[in-house]
Amino acid sequence: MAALVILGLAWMKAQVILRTYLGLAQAPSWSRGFALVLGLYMLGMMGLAVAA
Amino acid sequence: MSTPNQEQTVIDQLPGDLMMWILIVSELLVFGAGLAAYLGVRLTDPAGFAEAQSHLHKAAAGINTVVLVSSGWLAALAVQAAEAGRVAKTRLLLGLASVLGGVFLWIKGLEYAEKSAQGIDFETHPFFTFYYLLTGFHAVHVVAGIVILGLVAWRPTARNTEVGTAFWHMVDLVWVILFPILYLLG
Repeated sequence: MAALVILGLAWMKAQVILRTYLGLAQAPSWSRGFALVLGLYMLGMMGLAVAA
Repeated sequence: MSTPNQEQTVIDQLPGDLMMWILIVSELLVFGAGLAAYLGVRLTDPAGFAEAQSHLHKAAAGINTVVLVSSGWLAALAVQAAEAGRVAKTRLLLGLASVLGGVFLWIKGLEYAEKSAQGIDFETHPFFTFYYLLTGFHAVHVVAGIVILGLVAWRPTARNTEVGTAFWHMVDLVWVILFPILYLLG
């Protein structure tokens, strides 16, 4: 459970960096694409984390 | 099916410089694959990886996370200053972001020295092979980022600052994912 919370927070911060700092909020289609790939990746990491 | 003109429009929507985005995505793929491989190999020996991880200095890495996130915030402020035409403020903010990058490297160096004093190296355990590869490769990017911020501070136009700081934000982004996976997942 702790692993999911930790990775969830990292996921949120990564989204902030992508949207706000790297400016993807100005490009909604790119932002959706990056968010989708990041989301799939983080779900994969969560799966591997809880499988251990 | 989209026409070439429509594709060009989509590319044009991307903020900053296309080549910088290609670099950023390439780096994210490399680090992403490395971290996925780490978690995959960890499945073969969870207890051994947890024991090896217990030798890491989590507090130092936590401080480094605060340092790098703060540095990213300063770099973002530098972009705003550059867009407002405030050259001196842009240079100051880029300089402070670079200094925090230096602090990050200094703390990382202390961490490596501590591991070395404990007799821990690349071959001590597969965990440390991943640890040195991933954190070392990231540290090299921090060095490159400091050089880029320095070059941008020399000629701080709005365009230069946006593109240069994008690299720094990529370094920040990688650490935000790398830190919890390597240091916190027990």
